[in-house]
Amino acid sequence: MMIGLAHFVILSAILAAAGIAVMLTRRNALGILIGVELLLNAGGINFVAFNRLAHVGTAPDGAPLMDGVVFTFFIIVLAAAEAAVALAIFLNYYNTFRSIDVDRASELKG
Amino acid sequence: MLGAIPPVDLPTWTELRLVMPELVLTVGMVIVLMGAMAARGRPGVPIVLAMVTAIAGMVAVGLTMFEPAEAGIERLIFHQTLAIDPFSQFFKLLLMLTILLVLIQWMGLHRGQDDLEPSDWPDYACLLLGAALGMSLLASARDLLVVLIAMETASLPSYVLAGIRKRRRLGAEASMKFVLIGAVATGLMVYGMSLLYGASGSLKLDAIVGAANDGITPIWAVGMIFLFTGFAFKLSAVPLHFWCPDVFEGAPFDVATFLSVASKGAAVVLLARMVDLFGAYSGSHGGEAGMAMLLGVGIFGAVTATWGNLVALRQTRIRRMLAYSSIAQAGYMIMAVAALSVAGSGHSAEAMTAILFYLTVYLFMNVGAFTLAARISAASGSEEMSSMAGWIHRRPLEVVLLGIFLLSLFGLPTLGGFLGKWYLAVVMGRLGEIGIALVVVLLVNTLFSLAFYLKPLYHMVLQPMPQGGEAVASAGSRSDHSPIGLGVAIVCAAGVFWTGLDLGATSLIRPFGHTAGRGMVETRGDPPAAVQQTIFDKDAESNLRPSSQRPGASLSRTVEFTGDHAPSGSLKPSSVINP
Repeated sequence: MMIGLAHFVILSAILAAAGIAVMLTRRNALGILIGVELLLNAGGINFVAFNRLAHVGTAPDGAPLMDGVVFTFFIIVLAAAEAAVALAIFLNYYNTFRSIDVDRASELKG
Repeated sequence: MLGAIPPVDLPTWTELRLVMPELVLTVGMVIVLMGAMAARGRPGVPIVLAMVTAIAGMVAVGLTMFEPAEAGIERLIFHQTLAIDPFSQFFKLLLMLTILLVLIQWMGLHRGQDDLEPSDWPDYACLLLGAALGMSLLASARDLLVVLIAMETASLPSYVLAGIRKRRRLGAEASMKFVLIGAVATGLMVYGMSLLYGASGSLKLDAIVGAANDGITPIWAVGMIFLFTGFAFKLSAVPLHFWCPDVFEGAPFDVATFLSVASKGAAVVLLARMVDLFGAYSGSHGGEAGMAMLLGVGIFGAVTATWGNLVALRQTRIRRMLAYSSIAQAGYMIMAVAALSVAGSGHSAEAMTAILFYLTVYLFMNVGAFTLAARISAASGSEEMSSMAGWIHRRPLEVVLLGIFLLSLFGLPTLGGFLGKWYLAVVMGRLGEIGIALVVVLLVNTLFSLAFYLKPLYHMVLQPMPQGGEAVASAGSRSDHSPIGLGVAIVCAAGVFWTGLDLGATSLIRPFGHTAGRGMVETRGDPPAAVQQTIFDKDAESNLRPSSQRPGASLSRTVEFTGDHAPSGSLKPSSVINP
């Protein structure tokens, strides 16, 4: 059996569903961040798969178009940048509250 | 597009000139940090440099804003990833003005207060400029990759700014909530973008919108919903609005001001650009996608406005009240954006004008209200409205100015908010039955909002000053007497009257709306060959097609327009992949 586009898309859909489930159920801030990473990588898999298997195009000079692949690189970079900022903020929060449980973050409400 | 870039595709001078505002902001960030290193011991230097950057940015926008207007086209630069049109340029002007006002407000609030250490000042200025860079790009974005990068460039500094005062408990909590919700929204948006790419085979917004013309596929619809989830986060529209009051309350006042005006403004401009594309495409094709968009965005806006107003009534603290009020105001603008999704009606230009006008008014009244709320709550030592009883006797000028801004937010005639809402209602009213429904929602919401806009005034004006109030007042921080913040408020009040009495405001703003958006299909003479842009030459009444592309360096994926009825500028993309 050939591995085709559908396999990749289903894989990424499962990954995205897992990411959303993690985001909804985890009460730990780091757990939520891991869920976001799953979702971002699901997007990355989709981009590469669609680029290679569905929307094959060529640039004027004959080179293959790589827009989806390039998008995936940007997703990886953005995930790293976001993790860096988020971890710094979690650390600051931990220093203040001695916990990174999101349910305890309830001083602001109304 | 990005594969094997031939050497001729390097940026041209025209392109660099058109992104001058963004370049100024980028250079400004570097200069702020270098200036902080060079002038150690004088912490005010980076702040002044940031203000100079904002002014230079205004000049840069001024130099670029009339060029596309004269040409009557939307300039698409950098492989059609950025759209430089009068609409986006006018927003950038408002953005630079916001940075300037926020920095001045910050000086008024922070002088003498020690909770933001001078060693953090350069970081503060740099982050502010960085967030503004992202918002500026967001206003011009016309490509999914640019949307993503710009949104992250705007968001990441905002997360840090919300918690810039590291020792405040509330600041730590606000920035954590902000970063978590933001990360979730980004994750959903990226996944949606990947589905849209799969459905349309392109990263260009116009090609993605055009892909719906051959029938909406489920994958496209799901991707679009996820994409709008990301937009909703930036707009603080209802499904993802709940970060807004928490962040505004936990963040410093100046950061809250910046986020409430600039961040929402950028998101509104992006949403308008996106929805306008739906309008431009739906004309030739029965308007299925455009109609879905009209309903979707209209309901989205109506729910946001109603929810914001309902919850604002319950608030007892002035800043939370203003936060919910800003959610409602964003809802009004989203409702007007819905008007752009109808093609052929020929009033997309009016809708653009109305949105720009409302953004201008909103800038003045919200910056003013936040500034005065900050001053009064700093002086009374509490943000509870009940603790501000009788303040009219102590600070008459400030309370009167605050009253002007709150009544403008409500929409009292002669104040800017009224004319802004009037224009929004006019635009909505032309949409037929759905439009009438939207106008009714706007009207009911406006009347309802009077209840909570009058609440702080009721406490300040009609309630007697509590016993021992003087002691509290003298115990307030020293910084609240600084005249700087009051200056910002007076400038904003002048802006509210300028727009409200229409002393040339409408005629100033109209050209920017009218040449924007679908101006891209308007005709124009032969462009200089060196200018990389796509102009759709409108023949008498048919065949919209790209008329000029640089030979050899043409875009690898072009969308061919073979629209049928040109009068309203309707387009129909026929193919996506190039030869």
